[in-house]
Amino acid sequence: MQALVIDDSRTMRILLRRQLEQLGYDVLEAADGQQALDVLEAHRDAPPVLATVDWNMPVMNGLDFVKSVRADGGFRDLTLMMVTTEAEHGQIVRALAAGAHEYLIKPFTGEALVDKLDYLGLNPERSVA
Amino acid sequence: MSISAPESPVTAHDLQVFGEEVLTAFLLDQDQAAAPQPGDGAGRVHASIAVSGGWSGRVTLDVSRTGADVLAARMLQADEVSEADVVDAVGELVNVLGGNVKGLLLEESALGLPQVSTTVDENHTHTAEFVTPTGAHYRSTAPPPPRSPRIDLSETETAISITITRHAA
Repeated sequence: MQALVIDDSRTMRILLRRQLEQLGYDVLEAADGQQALDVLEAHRDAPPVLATVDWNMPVMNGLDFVKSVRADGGFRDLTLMMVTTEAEHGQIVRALAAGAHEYLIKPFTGEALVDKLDYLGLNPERSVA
Repeated sequence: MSISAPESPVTAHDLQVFGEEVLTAFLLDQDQAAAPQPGDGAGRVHASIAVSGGWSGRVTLDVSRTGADVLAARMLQADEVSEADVVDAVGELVNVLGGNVKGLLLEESALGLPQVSTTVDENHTHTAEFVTPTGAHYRSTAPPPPRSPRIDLSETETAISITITRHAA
């Protein structure tokens, strides 16, 4: 299973990559929403199953990325999980309304990430081979 | 950890809790086997993030360069960290702190992008790095003298200061 980590912080990309790889994911990275769209385009034939999406990023923010992905019928199976410091109820509602499936607020623990993936059925460690 | 929030919509206690939560999540959740190797740099790393809206201000995190090296090494589980690693890691810490503060505001507000600068004493390497709100990166470095004094890690050097200041609307 492949995941795309989208965050302008290299530190966060490394942390998320490490946690997702420990679960069995192959991880792609992008530093902003536009880079992420480019990565998805390059993997259109076999897109990742999961994208973790930061909200505040230069060039293209996470919300606009979510809207762009949802406007593209080619990525219907891509699960979008916001991973962000934006913690207000209104922000969460906006992201979910735009097409995000889940929302994880920074800072988070490894257990919280695993819980979200379990809920989404996207924890490779629990997948039936 | 020292806290200053004289004109803040959140209390100093809230800020203390946020700071401890952020450090706990980022540091204690990591593999403690990683042995941080603080660098030789004296000076400070200063990161801030703007909050704008009903309340406008800036959340600032200030940490010794040695402490910042340790924080970055712990976050990245790396034996050594680069200047870029330190800037990015401390920037992410203030980003999360700013998000927590913004989350307590009653009025709708927006969070900027983190800005980080590093400074050292005049006899050592001086590096400054900034990220503008548009995401542009600027960096300037001056070389150190042949031998910089080794600085031992201590509680004082890793002390973190978190400050909230209000901007004119």
